[in-house]
Amino acid sequence: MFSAVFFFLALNVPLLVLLALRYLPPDYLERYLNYLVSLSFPFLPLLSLPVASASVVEERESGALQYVLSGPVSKADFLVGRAVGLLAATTAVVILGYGLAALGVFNVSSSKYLLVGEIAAIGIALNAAMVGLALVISIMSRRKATALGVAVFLWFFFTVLSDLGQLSLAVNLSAGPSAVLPLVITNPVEISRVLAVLVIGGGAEQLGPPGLILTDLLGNSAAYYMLISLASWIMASYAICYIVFSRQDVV
Amino acid sequence: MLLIGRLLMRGFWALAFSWERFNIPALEDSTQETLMARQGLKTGWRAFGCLLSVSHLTKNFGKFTALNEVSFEVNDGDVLLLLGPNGAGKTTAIRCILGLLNFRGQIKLDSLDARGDGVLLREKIGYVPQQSSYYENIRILDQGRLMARFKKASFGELKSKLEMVGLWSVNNRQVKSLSSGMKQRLGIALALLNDPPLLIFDEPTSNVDLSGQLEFQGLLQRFSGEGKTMLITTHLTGLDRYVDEVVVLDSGKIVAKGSPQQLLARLGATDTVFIRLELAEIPEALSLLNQNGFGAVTTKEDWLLFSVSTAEKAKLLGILSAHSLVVKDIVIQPRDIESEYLRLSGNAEN
Repeated sequence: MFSAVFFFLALNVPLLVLLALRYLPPDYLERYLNYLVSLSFPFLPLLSLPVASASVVEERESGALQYVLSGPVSKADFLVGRAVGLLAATTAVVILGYGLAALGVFNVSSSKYLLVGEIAAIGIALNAAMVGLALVISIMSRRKATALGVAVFLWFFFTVLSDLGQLSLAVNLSAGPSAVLPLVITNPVEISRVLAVLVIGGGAEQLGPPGLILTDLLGNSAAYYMLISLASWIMASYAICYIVFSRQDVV
Repeated sequence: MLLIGRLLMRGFWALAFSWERFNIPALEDSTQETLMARQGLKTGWRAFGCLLSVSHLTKNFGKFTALNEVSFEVNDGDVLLLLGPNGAGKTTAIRCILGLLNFRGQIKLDSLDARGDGVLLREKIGYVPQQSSYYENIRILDQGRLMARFKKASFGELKSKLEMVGLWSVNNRQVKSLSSGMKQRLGIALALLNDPPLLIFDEPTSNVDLSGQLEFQGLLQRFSGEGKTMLITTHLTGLDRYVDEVVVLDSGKIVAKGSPQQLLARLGATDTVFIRLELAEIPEALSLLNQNGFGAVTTKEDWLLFSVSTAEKAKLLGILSAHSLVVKDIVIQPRDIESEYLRLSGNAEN
C-alpha cells in the first residue's frame, strides 16, 4: 500500500502529460524532485514509525520475545535481526515506490539518475533514523498501544509542530536566526528535507525559512552539517536501542 | 505491498539471525561427521555431578522482592521440582536462569555463567514455556525451522522430534490453529532439539486438559527413564515417582528443600490405607489395632481407614493375619509431596 502511495506520488500523472506534450523545461527534473521531496519526505516516517514501534513490544506482549530469547540467541543478535528486517522491508517499500516510477517515467539521462539516487539515499537514511527511533520507542514501551501512540505523536511533532515552531522563530527573530539551527538538527525530517533541497540545488522557495537561515549561517558547509546531523541521529538511535535493550528485563 | 514488506522483514530477520553463524550445518539430514562432532560436544556437556547451580539468587521488581537469596542445585540426571503457590517466584527463578531477567547472585550451568555466557548456557537448555509464546501466524514447520536454526539442529532432527510428539503429519498447519495440548507438544519437541542436557518445564500442564496432563506424565516418565536432567515447576500431583529433589518456594524464599522422601518424613506425612474386612470382624480388628498403637482408625461399613507411615503398613497387615482376620480388599493412597506441601502452607485452595 505504501509502495503504491509512493509510486503514485513519484509518478505524478500531470507530469506524464507534460512530458508527452514536450512542454517541460530542460531542468524539469530538479524542480520536480524539489516538489517531490517537500511532498513525500514528511510521509516517509509514517511508514517506518508505526511498523517499527510495534515490532518489539508486540513480541513482548505475545510472549514470543521471551521464547526467542530463551534460546541461544543474544539480545544483540535479536536487535540486529529486527533492525535489519525492518530496514530492509521499509527501504524496499520506498525503493519500489520511487524506483519503479523513476525507471519508468523520469525521462532523464544517466547522469541525472545519480541525482535521483542521492535523493533516494537521503530518503533511505531518513527511514533508517526513523526505524531506529521507533525501535527505541518499542523497546521502552510495555504496551503496543502506547508505542503506537508515541510514534504517531512523534510523526506529528516532526512534521507539523516542529515546522510551526521553526516558522514562528523565523518570523519572530527576536531569538536570533541561530535559534533555528537547533530546531532543525533536532528534527531528522527537516534535516533530510533541507539536505535534499541543497543536493538538488533548490532555490529560496524550496529551502524555506529554516533552510535559508541555515545556508546563511553555515554557508557552503550547510549540507555537510545536515549530513553529519542525520548520521548522528541514526547512530544515536541505534546505540540507545542497544544500551536500553541489553540492560532491561525481557519480560 | 505491506504484506510483501512484512514477509521480507521476516525473511531478513531470520537471515540476520544467522549472520554470525556461518558454521551452521544446513537444514538437511546431518552427515555422520557432524553427528559425531555433536556427540563429542554432548559428551563434553555431561557434568557428572552438579549441572545447574543457583546461589543467592535475588530478584527485585522495584520495591517488591520476587526472589530472596534462593539457592539450589540440580545434579546431572536428576529431576528437580520447584513447588509453590502463585507468585512464589518459580517462573521468576526460571526466567533468571534463562537470562531473561537481571538478577543478583550467581547462576551456573556446567561452569557457564548465566551473565557472561548467556548464549552458550541457553544452548544447553531446552525450555518449554508456561504459555504458548510462538509466532502464531506461521506454520509449525516454519516455527520449527526457526528454532532449529537457533539451536543448530538439522532438519532431520527437527522432523524426528515433531514425529515423536505426533506433529509431523500436521506440520503445514498454522501455529494459531493448534490446541493447547498440541502447542505444548510443539514446545516439548522444540525444546528437545539438539538434545540439551537440561530441560526446563514451566507449569507444563497448566493450560492442558486431563489427557494432556497424562500425556505429559508419560513423556516425563520416558525422559526420566532416559536419565534426562529436568527442572519442573508444576501443580500436577503424582510426580513424586519421577522427582529426585523438591524445592518449595513461598513468597520468594525457599521454605523446604530435599528429596521427596526426606521432605515427607520431615513433614510427618503418612499414607492412607483402606482395608476391607468381614463386617462381623470389624470390632475385633479395631480392638487389636488400638492395642497395637494404631489410634486414629475410622470405619465406614466394612472398611477400615488408617493413616500410617510406610514402615507401619507391613506391621498392620501382620497383626491382622496373625489373628486370622481375612483382608478382603486393600487400597493404599500414597502420600504425595504436593498435597503435603499444600497442607503445610495452608494453601489448600491452590
